[in-house]
Amino acid sequence: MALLFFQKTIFTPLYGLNFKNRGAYVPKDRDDHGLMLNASVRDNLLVPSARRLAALKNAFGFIAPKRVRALTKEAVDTMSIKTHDANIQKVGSLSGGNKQKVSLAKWLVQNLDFLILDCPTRGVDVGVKGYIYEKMLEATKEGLAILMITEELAEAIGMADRILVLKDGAAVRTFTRSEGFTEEKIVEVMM
Amino acid sequence: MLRKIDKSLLMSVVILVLVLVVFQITTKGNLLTKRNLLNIINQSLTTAIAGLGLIFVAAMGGTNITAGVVAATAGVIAVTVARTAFALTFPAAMAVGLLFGLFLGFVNAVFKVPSFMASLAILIAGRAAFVWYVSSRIIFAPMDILALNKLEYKIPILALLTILIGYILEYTPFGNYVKAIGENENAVKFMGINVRRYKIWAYALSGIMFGIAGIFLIARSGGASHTMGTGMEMQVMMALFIGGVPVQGGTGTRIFKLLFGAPLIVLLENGLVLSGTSGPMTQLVKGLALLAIVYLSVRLNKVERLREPKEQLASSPGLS
Repeated sequence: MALLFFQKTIFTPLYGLNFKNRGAYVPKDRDDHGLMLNASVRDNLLVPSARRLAALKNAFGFIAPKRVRALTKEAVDTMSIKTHDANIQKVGSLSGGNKQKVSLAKWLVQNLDFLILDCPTRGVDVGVKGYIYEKMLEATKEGLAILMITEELAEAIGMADRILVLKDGAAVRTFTRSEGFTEEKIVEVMM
Repeated sequence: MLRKIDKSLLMSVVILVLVLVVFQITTKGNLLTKRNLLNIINQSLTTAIAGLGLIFVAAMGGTNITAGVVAATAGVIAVTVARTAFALTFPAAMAVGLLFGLFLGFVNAVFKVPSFMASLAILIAGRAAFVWYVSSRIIFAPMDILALNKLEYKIPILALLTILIGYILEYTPFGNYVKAIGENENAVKFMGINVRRYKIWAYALSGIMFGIAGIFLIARSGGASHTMGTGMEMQVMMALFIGGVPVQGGTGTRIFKLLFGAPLIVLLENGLVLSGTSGPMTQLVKGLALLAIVYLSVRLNKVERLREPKEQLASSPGLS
């Protein structure tokens, strides 16, 4: 569980290293680190999957337009992204909630083993928030492990099987759902 | 809807029409003669080939202004090699270009030197070495190389290279990655894509294409003097931008824009010359045109970004 210690720099051990399990990190700063705002929804979905879709999984392999269309459709449907035309509409012109749906969809279509979500409901309106929680639970049922980094205690209590409290760069304590989460107990450790 | 039209492309079409109309009048109809059109196509081929390499760098939002010096060096070395083994002409030129490209890519991607400054340094040093080597000589190209200066050869080669580069840019992960780097380099890093590697490859590819352009440059002029290829880098960059490739790179980078831009920039120069404009004046107009085009390109892409917060505001109080 050493990974958990790298809250701020969690991506550093992630890329460049060869994990046996396939996973991805969804950054907190959606606009600057997560999305290409001036590119279409399609392009945002395509880039992380490009290698997987290409012939021979090679950087110079052929990506069949048919497979790109299928991927776009699957992603838009999985997360019900509201866009008038995924091929043309720029991600920057979507609402905050739909932007977040795009950042999640591009990984959810990949059948990964784990996902690290950094404040996945930040700047998202209430309706989409609930929808994202729903999708997260759905994905975990299908075998995806999710590590959620959050600043909202209620979110952690509502979603997690285990809560790890980080304080001053160290993991202070782990709570498990079976022992029961209460706000007081967790806050006590946080203080 | 308006949104569906690529504004940068629209800009290029407007410029093309404007250039054609104005010069057709000022040259008293000499612009659109068969001979002059062939001349324009012939001249724009070298620019187009170099542009095919630069397009990857431009897609990343980088620059490589070493086109002229790389083409000249590769051309001279190719000529020297061609005298003994003609078969090695292209590999030799490509290898020279590759070395230049790898070096620039390495300096840019690993040492994080901005591509403009790094390529400027290479341009200055490379040109100095080239002038020192050639000095006041003229290095003549052998007949085999001169024979390449025929549209029957050049057009199929350009077509082949365009298909190859177009394929890489539009249909491969590499092409998508370089465009994505132009859109948002951080996001690409967070996707776990090895940005450094693909940057180096992009610069390497640009070098290779500059090398190939060098062969055709020397084939057209018949030989190399120490001024060979000067000004080519700007010509190539202008070809991309005037064709509607966004200055900051990204997904608006398309191969057909270059094929549109290369003849257009030659047409601009050719029209000015045929209208009797003096040499310095032609350069002045070209410079101002570049400034205007880059401004328009940045401006047209900015409008898209500004729209974003407005829509977000409009949609946030409503339904999810």
